[in-house]
Amino acid sequence: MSKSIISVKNLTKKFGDLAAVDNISFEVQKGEIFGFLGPNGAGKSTTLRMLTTLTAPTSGSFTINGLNPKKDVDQLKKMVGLVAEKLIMYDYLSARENLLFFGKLYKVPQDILEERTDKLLKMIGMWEWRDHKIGTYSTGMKQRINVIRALVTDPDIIFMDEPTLGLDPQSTRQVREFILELNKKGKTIILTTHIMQEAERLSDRVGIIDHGKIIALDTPENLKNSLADKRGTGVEFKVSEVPACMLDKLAKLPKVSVKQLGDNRISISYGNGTEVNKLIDAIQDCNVGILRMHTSEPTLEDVFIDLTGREFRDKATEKEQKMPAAGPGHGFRKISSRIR
Amino acid sequence: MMQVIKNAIYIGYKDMLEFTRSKIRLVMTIIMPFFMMIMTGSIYPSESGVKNIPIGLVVEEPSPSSDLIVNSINTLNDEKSFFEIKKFDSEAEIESQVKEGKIDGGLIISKEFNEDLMSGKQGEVIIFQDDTNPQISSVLTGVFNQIVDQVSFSVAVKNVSEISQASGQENSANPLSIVKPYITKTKSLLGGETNYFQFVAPGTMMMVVLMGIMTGLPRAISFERESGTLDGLLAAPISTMSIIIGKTLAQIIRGIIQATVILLLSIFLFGVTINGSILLVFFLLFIGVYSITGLGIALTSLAPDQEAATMLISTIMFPMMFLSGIFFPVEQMPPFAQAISKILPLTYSIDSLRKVITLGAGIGDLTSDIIILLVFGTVMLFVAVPLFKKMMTK
Ligand SMILES: Nc1ncnc2c1ncn2[C@@H]1O[C@H](COP(=O)(O)OP(=O)(O)OP(=O)(O)O)[C@@H](O)[C@H]1O
Ligand SMILES: [Mg+2]
Repeated sequence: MSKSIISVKNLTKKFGDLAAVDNISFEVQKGEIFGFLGPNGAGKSTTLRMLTTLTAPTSGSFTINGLNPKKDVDQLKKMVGLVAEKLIMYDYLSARENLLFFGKLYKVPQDILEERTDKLLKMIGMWEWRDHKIGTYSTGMKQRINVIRALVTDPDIIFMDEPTLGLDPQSTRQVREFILELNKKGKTIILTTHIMQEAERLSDRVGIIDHGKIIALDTPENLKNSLADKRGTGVEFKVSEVPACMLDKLAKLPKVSVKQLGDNRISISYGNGTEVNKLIDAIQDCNVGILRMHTSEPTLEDVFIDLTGREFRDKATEKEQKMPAAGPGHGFRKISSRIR
Repeated sequence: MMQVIKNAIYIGYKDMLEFTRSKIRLVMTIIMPFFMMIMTGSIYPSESGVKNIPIGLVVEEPSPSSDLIVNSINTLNDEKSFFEIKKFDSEAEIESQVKEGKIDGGLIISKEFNEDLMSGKQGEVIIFQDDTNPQISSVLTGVFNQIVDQVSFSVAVKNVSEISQASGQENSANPLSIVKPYITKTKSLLGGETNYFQFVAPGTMMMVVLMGIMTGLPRAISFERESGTLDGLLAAPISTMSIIIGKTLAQIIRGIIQATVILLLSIFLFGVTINGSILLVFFLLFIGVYSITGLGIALTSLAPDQEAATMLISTIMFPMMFLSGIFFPVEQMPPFAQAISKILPLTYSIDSLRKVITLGAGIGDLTSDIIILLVFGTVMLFVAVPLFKKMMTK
């Protein structure tokens, strides 16, 4: 985590008056997974499209491995792979034909190309389907091919635009594991997502992007810790009863605030440096039994809300709506609302 | 440069592969030129196509002279059955029959005809034509005129020889040379009857190829752009030219296949003879395609999506097809249309193709056509490629 492989300076893309990407600068380190997290319309795809030379920036510049897209475009293109939002594959061709076709455009020698194609198809579990037309695949199968399509050219850097979009929990997990595996092999991966959990689980560092601007950039851990520093950590107890004695004692502790939730539940938030056993002592002192407890860490969503002062929502429609949470992600909204 | 071509071939091959996977498209590739040929070939009824046209005949007052004309018609008709002759009593009746669409025209030998002849004037035979059907009318008028001419000519010859005999001149001049001192004899580069298919086949071939390119190219490019696969090509380390050439190549191959279908149909089904070199025919198809590709790419690049591109191109294609002399000779058009046709590349490609197929012209006879096509194509490509590049990195 020392050498930066992508360096972006003041990159801007305007569509008419709209600054889809607004003067962003950041570095990506070699070998890391860099996650772009942001709501719909935040400018994630546009950023990726500029970095893969599909769209010309309005202003600003970037280099990839020291290569300038204006001068060494072909070398630069060879270094990167793209898993795009819209699937890049031909419906009338089979998976294998698709992969071989794109490999050829990158001048991969035929024998290496075939070997690699077959290996990837087996790895992603699509070997049986290799000669079937893409048109006959399910969404999940297509997305898997879309991912390995970017890999037939064996790029050092892989851009992935919402690689788990539209997948069921099982396929999502498979693709995520595949991404982690690639990263272990030394690939630098830049991915975008609007799923908090995905950004959190996969990324070494996360850039939170909103209205075309990067509003925070750090490891998920640091992002959450800094919010915890500011807001405190939450813990929720279900107790046998809620006597005034207990509430008093708890409230007297420094940097602690208590909220009653009804049904014998209380939510406590405590600042950094608080010893958690003091909380338990306070409860026990009043002879109250603890029936259940769980802590709720701040999530990246809380970080987003803290930074923007609004819900993580679809900017394009400005409707208050919940993100379609994939799989185990269902819980995070509930937890976050509890700690506030 | 080699790499550009190589990548273009990969892309072209990929497009062809996609194309062959769709059975409907394959079948249409063969059927479309077949329909085209039949349709364009039947715009003009050739004389041999004229059969049993219902006509009306009015003889107001039979006389030896009118009999002569009627007999000639009958004789000709027995031989070739051009008409289905219906007899009527007056011109008014013919008029109403034509109006009702029961007959396509008529011939009227009036009372005045006989009276005029008796009084030493010329006898007038009236041809009645249906204005709503100019093509049948022109064939009818032609045939009637010919018959009346023929009859009046033989009557004249007979009269002249009678007069010369009466005047007692032996060894006088041939009566034919007195009645009709000048005659024409039609000679053309080709012997025999001209066949309308011979005229339309080259144009139809060129049209099918060009229509294929002009509709196929925007489809191929816009479709990839909309489905997202174009990003895969653009992200690859290949030249934009490879994409353009590759896409065009696939369209040309498809067009050439269709042109071959037309060529075979023309020869074996419609009796067209190819008088020049087949190789030259294909070369000209290629040049014709080259001349128009730039225009197709430019229009595609200007249009925001596939539908707009198709609309834009068909708006331009149709006038272009009519003005370039596929169906009607350019010389028969009004002056402004002729002027437009002079700046259309299609005019030159069709003209040159026709010269080869119909007249057996060699490449030496076509230099000016070929140069114009190459120049037009190159200029258009210079306009189109930057537009295309700009469209792609929008
Ligand atoms: N080709 C374009 N023309 C005009 N506006 C565009 C174009 N592409 C993107 N935009 C606008 O730029 C903004 C950023 O879009 P972008 O696709 O980068 O968002 P995103 O973060 O990828 O969102 P999502 O999560 O929905 O994929 C949006 O407001 C979008 O409407
Ligand atoms: Mg996007």
